[in-house]
Amino acid sequence: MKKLFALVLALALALSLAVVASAEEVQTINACIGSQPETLDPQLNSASDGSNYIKHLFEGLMKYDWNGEGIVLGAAESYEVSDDGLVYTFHIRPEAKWSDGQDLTAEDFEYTMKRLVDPATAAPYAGDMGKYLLNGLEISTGEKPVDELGVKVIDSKTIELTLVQPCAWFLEIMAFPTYYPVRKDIVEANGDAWATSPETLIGNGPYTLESYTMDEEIVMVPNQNYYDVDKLACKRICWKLITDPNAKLAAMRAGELDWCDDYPTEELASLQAEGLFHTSPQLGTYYVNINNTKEPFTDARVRKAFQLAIDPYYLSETVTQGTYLPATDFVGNGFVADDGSDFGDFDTVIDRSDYEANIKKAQELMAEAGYPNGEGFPTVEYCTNVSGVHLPTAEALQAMWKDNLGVNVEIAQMEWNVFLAARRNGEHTLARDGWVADYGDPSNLLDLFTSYSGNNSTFYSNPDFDKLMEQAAATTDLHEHFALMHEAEKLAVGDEACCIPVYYYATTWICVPEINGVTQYPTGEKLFMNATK
Amino acid sequence: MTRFVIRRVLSALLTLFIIATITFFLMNMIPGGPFNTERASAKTVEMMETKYGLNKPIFEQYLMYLKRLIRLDLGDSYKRIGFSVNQILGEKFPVSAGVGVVAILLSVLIGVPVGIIAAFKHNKPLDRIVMFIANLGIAVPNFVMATALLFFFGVQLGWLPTLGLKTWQHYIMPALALSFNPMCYISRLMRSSMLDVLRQDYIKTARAKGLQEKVVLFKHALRNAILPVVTYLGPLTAGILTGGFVIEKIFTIPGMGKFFVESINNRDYPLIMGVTIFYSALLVLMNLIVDLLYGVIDRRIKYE
Repeated sequence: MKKLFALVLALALALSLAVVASAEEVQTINACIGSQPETLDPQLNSASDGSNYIKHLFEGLMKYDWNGEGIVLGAAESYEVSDDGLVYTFHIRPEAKWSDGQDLTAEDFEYTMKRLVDPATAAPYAGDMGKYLLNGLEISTGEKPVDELGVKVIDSKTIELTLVQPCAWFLEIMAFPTYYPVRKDIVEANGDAWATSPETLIGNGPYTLESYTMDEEIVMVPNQNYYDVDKLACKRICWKLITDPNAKLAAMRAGELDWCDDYPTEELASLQAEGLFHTSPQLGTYYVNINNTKEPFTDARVRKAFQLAIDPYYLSETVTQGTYLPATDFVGNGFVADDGSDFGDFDTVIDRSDYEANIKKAQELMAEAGYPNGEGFPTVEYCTNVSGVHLPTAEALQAMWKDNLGVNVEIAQMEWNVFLAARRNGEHTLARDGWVADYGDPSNLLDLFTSYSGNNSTFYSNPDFDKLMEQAAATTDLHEHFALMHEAEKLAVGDEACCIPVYYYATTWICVPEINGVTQYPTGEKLFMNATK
Repeated sequence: MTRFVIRRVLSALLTLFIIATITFFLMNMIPGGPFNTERASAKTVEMMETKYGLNKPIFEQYLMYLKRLIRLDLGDSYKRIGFSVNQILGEKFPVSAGVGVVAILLSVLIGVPVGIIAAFKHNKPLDRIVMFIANLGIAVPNFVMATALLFFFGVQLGWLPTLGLKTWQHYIMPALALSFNPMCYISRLMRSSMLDVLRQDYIKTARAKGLQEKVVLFKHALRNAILPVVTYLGPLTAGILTGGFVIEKIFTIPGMGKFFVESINNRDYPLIMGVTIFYSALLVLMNLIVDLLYGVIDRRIKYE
């Protein structure tokens, strides 16, 4: 008996050792892409960090390829488009399952899309993303009932989506996390709290939650029910939820963090020297928002003068130390359509080749508008929040306008939330602004200047521009689509100078040299499926 | 005594009610709102405000809030979707309090003896050295201390972990950083109060009676000399237990300190109310405990 007992004990010991050993073999990648996220609920999320977690925990009909190949099939194994480009039929993979083993069905997607546009959900992207589906926009504003959404379940693995009008980038929209599926039974049983704990957060993505500790970490491990689970190189991701950039760097130096998209800006030079700092282009533009309805900026000549009298090259080099690139258009490079048309092939809408000549032209325009050498020009206010490069940029712009046009611009520093409200309500004259594309089509940026856009805080309004944008949206010919949008951009940003593009944003990050395989897209995705160290 | 406590509790409730009311209206007066983001259009903001009842008249919102508050329900956070304020405070307060208790113990257990020793060695070199350090400690802000600790012990020497609160080693640096300033303050307080007491007649009497110096010091002097320290401990405890914004940020401690700032930046109304009311209640409670302790320590004090 004693012997048997000893044997059992020895076995138990050996087993537990084996368990410990195998647990240690799993390599954990420690990354930080933000502090405590607002939510992990695909429909309620509107933040970029949240969106990135969601891309690891859920999967849309389409998805971002882990190797950087762009938009590929996700939960769908195939799709068909009707000849008029209005109806998309998606076939869901037969083997696609939820992380608790249940089948992923067309009904799940139907529920998700209806949940997105339902005003009761109050999804921040209800209108912006829901507008592609038939009646989506009207439902999101409460003008039509949810049942009228252009979604139809054909059978349990087939779903048919009807669009308002043909859309060249609709597959990208299907890869946007707002459209990633959630489970009706889970959401209804747990309310908003469903996405806060591993027990109730049921997803269909490559990873599933191991643990979620508020303000500390989100740990993800492969979802064993995911169809491609064997292809995951990264077996455990620990997302550290750190706020302070100095703490992030300290953690990396102490070996507790491998990859991080933030760093103390004052350390930039030393990080570059150490080879820890990296950068890649991002589809987004940092610009000066001109309130087109405020005197004296109602005059396009004044706006153009302000636009020409600045030097983005100098700003990029000195203020951002080269991390952001100088902007010569509102739509930067990197927008390439499926047929190979590149938006960057068009001429720039602002000629920045000769700064001296531009200053001269700007001075002439000011004189034409009745303000020779800035005489009689009122003091105007430039509103900005103070973090990062915003204040130094504002000060440099202020000096350029003063030197080149003889005008006085005062900088109004505002707390973030106050600033957002002021800009949206049009209380500003000039304000810092920026937009990063959600999907790789220039319309995502240019739509900001349509008179009907809810996000148009320049209040630029030109029926010709609206018409060009509408024509561009309606065409299925991608080349024509780009040409029309370029014409629109030239009109609004080039000729009428509705805003002043300053920089193209860049994705910047620091990481330890050993880490490999993190895939990033210019629209901000950071995918860790192939990451190893 | 019982009547004193009841009266104090009632006045505490009134105080809390006034604090809640003022905070509620002040908070709603700040420009901006919880659902402002770089991308939210006016329509989106309106839709979200409707969901959370923010489109109702302000006084109606206030009454609704009070109704819930009576049931001790602090509402749901707007910016941590799916988490209630009760849950957030319930999870975060123990974290901050854990570091806080260590910090308070450190400041009392080191600060008090150091003060006593300094008083005894009045104007001798040891007193001078100790008081020099104490003055320095009061003048140096805790974030400087924290950064210095982090740099030397966390990064340069690599002896202590820099991130989070997983093991007992994680507590060392934040607790030291949090306690250094109050520790120095307490030692100064203790020293001057001790010096004052030692000059009193009853101490002379005790010494004249031929009592041992130990007994004079601990039985007669300390009891009265410690009163100012106890007074100081009330608000200090409330402050330290609810976490330091800066210290928690520097060491990435998932405590509640940051909510005092973050909730306001985010206009997370229920969380602003929650942390304010919670902190006020704790402060009022600590002051009550201090008042009761007076009577225990100094029998001359009577509650009327």
